[in-house]
Amino acid sequence: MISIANVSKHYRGSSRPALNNVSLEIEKGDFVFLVGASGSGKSSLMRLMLREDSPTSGSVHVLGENLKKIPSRRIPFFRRKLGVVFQDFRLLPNKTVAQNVAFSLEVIGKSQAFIQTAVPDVLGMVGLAEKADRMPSELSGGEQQRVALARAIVNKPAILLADEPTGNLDPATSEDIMALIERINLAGTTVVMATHDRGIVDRLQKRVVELRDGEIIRDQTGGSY
Amino acid sequence: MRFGFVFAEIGQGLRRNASMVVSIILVTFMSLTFVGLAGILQLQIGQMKNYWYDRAQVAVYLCSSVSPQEICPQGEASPDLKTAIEAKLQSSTLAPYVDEFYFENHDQAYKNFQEQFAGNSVAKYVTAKQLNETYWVKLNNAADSQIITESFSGMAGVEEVRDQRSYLDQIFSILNAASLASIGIAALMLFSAGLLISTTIRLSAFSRRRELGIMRLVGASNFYIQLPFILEGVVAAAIGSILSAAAVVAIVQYFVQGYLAARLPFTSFVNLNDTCEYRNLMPRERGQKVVASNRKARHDYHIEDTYEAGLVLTGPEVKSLRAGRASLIDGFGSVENGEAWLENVHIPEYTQATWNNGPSRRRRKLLLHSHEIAKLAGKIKESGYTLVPLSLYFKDGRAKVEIALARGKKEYDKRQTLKEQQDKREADRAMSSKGKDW
Repeated sequence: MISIANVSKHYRGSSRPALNNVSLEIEKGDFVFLVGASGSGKSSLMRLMLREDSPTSGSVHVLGENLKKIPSRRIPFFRRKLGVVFQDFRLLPNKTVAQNVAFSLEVIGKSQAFIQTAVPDVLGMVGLAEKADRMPSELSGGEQQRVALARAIVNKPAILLADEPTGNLDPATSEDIMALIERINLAGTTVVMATHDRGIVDRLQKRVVELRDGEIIRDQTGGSY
Repeated sequence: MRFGFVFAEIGQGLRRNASMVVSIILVTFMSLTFVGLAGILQLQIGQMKNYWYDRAQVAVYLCSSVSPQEICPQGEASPDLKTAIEAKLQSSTLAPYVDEFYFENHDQAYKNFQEQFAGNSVAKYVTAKQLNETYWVKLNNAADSQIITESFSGMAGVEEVRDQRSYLDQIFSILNAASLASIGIAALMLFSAGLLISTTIRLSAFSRRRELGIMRLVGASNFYIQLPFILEGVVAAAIGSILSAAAVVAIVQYFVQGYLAARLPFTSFVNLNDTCEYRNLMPRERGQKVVASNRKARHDYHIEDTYEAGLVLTGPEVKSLRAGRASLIDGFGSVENGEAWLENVHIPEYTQATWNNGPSRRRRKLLLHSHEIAKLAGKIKESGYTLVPLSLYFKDGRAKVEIALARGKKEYDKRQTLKEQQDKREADRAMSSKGKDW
């Protein structure tokens, strides 16, 4: 599903590589925590999987695509098969909850009929059915992250990439979000989640990949932080 | 692609960058108006040239008592000289070029001068003697002035030969410079309009970077992301160009035709019809060019009636015709369900076209008026009549076929025609003076 082989990434202007000869295999349906201190290369790795960046050396294969060779006009179509959530939610402040979710379908050219059934479905799944017409500013942080999750999964992606989705939330709300992400994983979606939250990693006992200074120092199934 | 969504995005963008959009509209408006003005000026120059060149005359100034000594050593022109000039103008060498000429003596020149410079102090000091006697020559074709100049320049007693067009050329060169300047300004402004539009697009993209980030994230295609921005520029530029078109029309209608034409009645000015004539600046194919003719048809058939029909052709066929490759032999026409068809005419494949070449003897539709088709259909039902193509040609750039309602000749008819032709040829030969060697 995701296959990273001998990947190095140098950013211009810094002598130390952000990633140094990293190899990683992730299978369909896996739930993987990426842990490590800030600057250890978690985000760089996620950007490579999203094809926001390409590696300096090595190869990245995601969903059968060689991301080093993919032509730039195919990138949008590749990204449609991925769902992404971030620490800072990234919602549009001038659109309602339903419009925020619908927007991501509109811009990839889905029909109005499809949008009208898919959006209430996914909002119901994340438990925001009755708040569909609220603006993002009227929602709590946890609710906003659930909107972002709804937007990420409305298109039924094969992979969900989550970059510290609980970073801005209190522990109780984090639990709700994690329960949601677990449900998404149980439905067959591969989840890759970068996090600093020791409690969550310890409780879930999933596969843990630890990075330090751009290198993988631990890859443990059923591990803790 | 969902147009409602795209249009909503454009509307939002236009509102958000209102001042920038207004400036784009203004700049495109100004620059295109200057382009239009340059065009009007050029048309005006062309029109004035036509008008004035036709009226321009060649002046043959005769020596007067005050002419410079080195050109006119003998002083005032003699009556002999005048008769010589008149004789020369009426001679068989010059007469074909000259439309008319007339003589202006000192007193007439003085009168004209006083009229022309009425109120000017110079009029007081000039005497009749100082003004040259002049032959004014109007030519059939103003461009032939060189002939007059050459004939009279060196002649003793002639002070100067002057083509009035040389004065006009100065005026036109000034007008030309003005229109060039206006084109220059227009080019500069169009350039800045281009820069402004690109800046606006960038600004608009910046103010929407959140949406754009999300659009990219969820996999919106680049085309979908860029379309609203491009259309924003297009909308603004379109408004500007519509305004400038309106301005040019208004200038021609109200300023040139209304204001200038009322005050300068002896000048012909451009009008709206002329500005519409701009399309005529595009060279268009004129006249007829025969591609193929069917000479055998006249041998084999009695031609009753001919029609010119248009043809429904494909691109490669037209290219092939333009290369002059077609054969009408064995071609015939048919009428079916009120439609006329041309069958079995061979237009070879155009070698540069590949997959879009059709069969070379394709059935091709003829374009005829319905009453013509009705008439042909009625005739064809009668036995003995067929439709034969006589020739295939381009008329004003369009492929046409001359199709004839024809009746087949019997063998004796053909012999008869042949005999008649031969007799006629022999008769002609006998009548002509050529080849009579007895």
